[in-house]
This record gives sequence, C-alpha cells and structure tokens, in this order.
Amino acid sequence: MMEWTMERIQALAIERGLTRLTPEHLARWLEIARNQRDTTALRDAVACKTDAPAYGPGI
Amino acid sequence: MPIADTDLWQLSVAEAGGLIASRDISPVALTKACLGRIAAVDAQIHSYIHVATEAALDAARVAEKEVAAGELRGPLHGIPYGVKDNYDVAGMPATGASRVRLDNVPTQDAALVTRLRQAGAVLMGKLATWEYGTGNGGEYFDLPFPPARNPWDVSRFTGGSSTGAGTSVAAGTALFALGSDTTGSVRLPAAATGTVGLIATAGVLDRDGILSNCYSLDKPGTFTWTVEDARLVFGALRSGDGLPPPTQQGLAEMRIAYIDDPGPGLPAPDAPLAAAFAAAVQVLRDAGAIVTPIALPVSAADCFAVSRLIGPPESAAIHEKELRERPGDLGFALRDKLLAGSLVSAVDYIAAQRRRRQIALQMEAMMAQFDALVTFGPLHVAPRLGVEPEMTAYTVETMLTPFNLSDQPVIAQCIGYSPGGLPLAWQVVGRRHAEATILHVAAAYEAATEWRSRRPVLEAA
Repeated sequence: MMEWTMERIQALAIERGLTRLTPEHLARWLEIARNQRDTTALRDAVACKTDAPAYGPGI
Repeated sequence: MPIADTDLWQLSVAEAGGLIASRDISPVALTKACLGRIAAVDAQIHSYIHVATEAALDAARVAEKEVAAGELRGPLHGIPYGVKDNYDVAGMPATGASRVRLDNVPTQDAALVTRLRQAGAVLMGKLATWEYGTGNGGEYFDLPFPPARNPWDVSRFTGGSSTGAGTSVAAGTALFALGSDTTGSVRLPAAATGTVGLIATAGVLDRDGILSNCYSLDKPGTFTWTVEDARLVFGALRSGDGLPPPTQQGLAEMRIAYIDDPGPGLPAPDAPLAAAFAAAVQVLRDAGAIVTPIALPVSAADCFAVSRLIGPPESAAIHEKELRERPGDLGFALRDKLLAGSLVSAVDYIAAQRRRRQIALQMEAMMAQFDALVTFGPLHVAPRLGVEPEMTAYTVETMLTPFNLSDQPVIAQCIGYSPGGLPLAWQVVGRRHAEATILHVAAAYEAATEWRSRRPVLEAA
C-alpha cells in the first residue's frame, strides 16, 4: 500500500482544490489515509472481464 | 375510560385514526396535544430542529373541517408527524443540521411529504439528524443544533442518523416520523429508542426531495410506535399498491430463519440482548413458525467494509463543493466521511459494487428457503452519549449493513428492555418486495408480547 505522508496529503489537497482545509483537517486526513484497509483481497475476489449492473437502486 | 386531551400524544396512529374517524377526538386537539408534549419535554430530548406550530394547526383545522364534512381521506387523516431535516418541505427550513444549509428553504415538498399531505396527515416540523443525514457514527456536539437524546435515558445515545425521528415517536412529540437509511440510519435509532423502524425495497418509497448521500444505498424509512402503525404509514407512502393486507393472527407453517451468532469480526451481543433474542425466537416458535438457525453467507463485518467503499466516495462526489469551499463549517463527522471518501479509488469503488452484487445474489439464494429472517441489529445496549468509543461500537458493530447491500426490506422492532430499562431490538428481514410478510411477522410477535405497554418517562417542564 502507498505510504501516506503529510507531503502527499498536502499535494492531494492542492490537486483537488481543497485549499481551505486547515492544518488540523490535513492532519486528520492523513490519519484517515493511514488507516485505510488493503483492498487487494476484495479486488481479487471480484476480478472479472465483464460487468453487471450494480450501481443503484433495484440491483 | 376516555383519554384526556392533553394525553392524546400517547395514542398510536391506528388508535388516533379510529377516534378521528368516529369523531371522538379532533385533529386539532390531537395536534395541540403533540405541541403540548413538545413544549413539555423537547428541551430535554431535542427531537425537533424546527417546530412548525402555525402550519400544523392550520393543517389540523383543515383536516377537522374535512372530517366533519364526512370527507375522510384515510387512516392518517389528522395525524401529527415529523420529518427528518434532510427532507424538503416547501417554505420550511431544510438545514440537514448543517451550518452550510442554515438558509436553505426549499420551494417544493419531497415526494413522500406530498403523499402525506394527500393523506391529510399534519406535519409538525423538522426532526433532528446527524449532519446531512449521515456521519461517521458519533456525536461531537459541533453542529448548530443540539443532538437528540434518548427519551429512555437522556444521558444515552439515540443512534443515528435519524436521531429525532426515533426520539420523537418514542417520546410522543410525533405519532409517526419519516427518516432515511443508507447503512442503518433508520434501524439503529429505532433500536435505541424502542420504536418500529421500517425500510422497504429500493424504489418502493420515492426518495425524491431527500438530501442525497449515496445514490446506491439511500432509502427513506418510517418510524412508528407499533407495527400496525408501520403498515398504515407504509400503505399511505408507497406508490401504486396502497395498504398491505391486515395481519392474520399466528405464524403457522411460516419458515423463519434466525441468526444468533454475529459471525467473524464482530463481538458477541450484550448479554441482555442475547437473552431477549433467544426469548423472541421462542415466541415465533410458540406462534407456530418453523424456525431454523442459519449463518449469513457473508460476514456482516465484511459487508460493513464493502459499504465503506461505496457510501463515503458517493457522499464525497455529491458534497465535494462544500468540502472545498466551507470545510470549517462542516461538523467533524461529515468532514471525516467526505475526507475518507475522497481517498477511495474508482477501482476500489467498482470492486465494492461488484462485491455488493455477489452478496445480494448470495442473500437472495439464502432467502429462497425462508419467508423471513430475524437477527440482531446493533449488538449493544444504547451507550452513553458523547463517549466516542461506545458510540462507535454501537454504530459499527452491527448486523445492519448486509441488508442494505442486498436491498431487502427490514423492520427493526423492540424485543424487550435491559435491566437498566433501555430498549433491546432485533431485525425482521424479508425477501425483496416482501414488505407485507415482514409486517405480518413483526405484528404477530408484537401481539404476543407486552413491550408496547411501556413508554419512556420524562418529567414535564
């Protein structure tokens, strides 16, 4: 998984136009980023070359 | 013995509707009783963000005149109710409990509010909610309105996000309420407040005019004191089919599955809840149901993890502008969710949606063998308000999310009380589009138990 740093979070904030986030907000965002779960197993479990509609009400 | 006008808030929807139809009580007296109840207790429980006193009295007067003229619209005619403040009501503030939306006054009603106007129900106002009707599972006392409190013990958490909806119905500041549920926001507060929370199969109840958080999972839902009331409200709200048939007594030959083990990744339920659940299953058995223990085909903990890759990124996509322009005006919980959602990649989002479809198909196959399923909702008794680890555990350690992913109809229902007097609850789950079946099962359970005879005790101001 990506190693999240404050520099990466700050760069992401600029890229997304989130320039009004305070240092406290950015610190919290970094904490959230570092706590993300690895999704490799999920992606492997659903890997397929065709897809079915699954993106809204009445799946 | 006739009930005093000031105590009319204690009536169920069915009772009040019957008395209005027979002209033994008037919609104006009933509305005044609920307004009086708000004046007496709402400073303790904060169920309302906005009370529309004059509009409610005006609507009650119209209902009264129509009933007197013999123009009864149906079982909700003249019945006072509230809506979560993420529903649009023309001319009424729709803040979503957010500083960002304090000046938002819609010009049109949400579709379900329109249906209730047509049914002659009396809108009392807007009910408390977590910001935007979503959140990260906790209360942080940083919104422009105080959090709703649990009427069974005002130091306790209500669950969320439809906090005021559960609180109002339990406390009698409304006879029924509308809320919304993305991953548990109807069933969690219904469980915490001992009310009946109903969510239907997607599309059965129109969500137009409700502030969006997640296109894939958002649903409206109802809060009532009894299952019969849920049937009446659901019948008035749903498009086309009208009122489901009234419940027959007994559950003879019905095949009902039960899940009493939360499965991997979740703790055992609190002891009073586990005991109440076992006793409730026995009630079904005694009523003639064929009850069978099963396990979910997928763990509830995994379903929650999948939902975290769907809900937050959809919320971030919908509300990203607020995060860009006014992050400091958002509360901690909503900002947290939007920041988390902004980190989810498109590949992970699509993987989660694919997994959701797999889960839905597995759940459909499981349900093919049964008429209904009962299991826990939250695994804990309502915790202390403001104690973050307890609130998070109450919100996250649940059996709620699998049925959001599978789009099944669910009723959350009281199955007893803890030694400290707090409600305990289970979920009654149906096959997709089988709302009438779960109403039948829940009504049969309710009829066989005494839990509806107890109401929260609040000292009047």
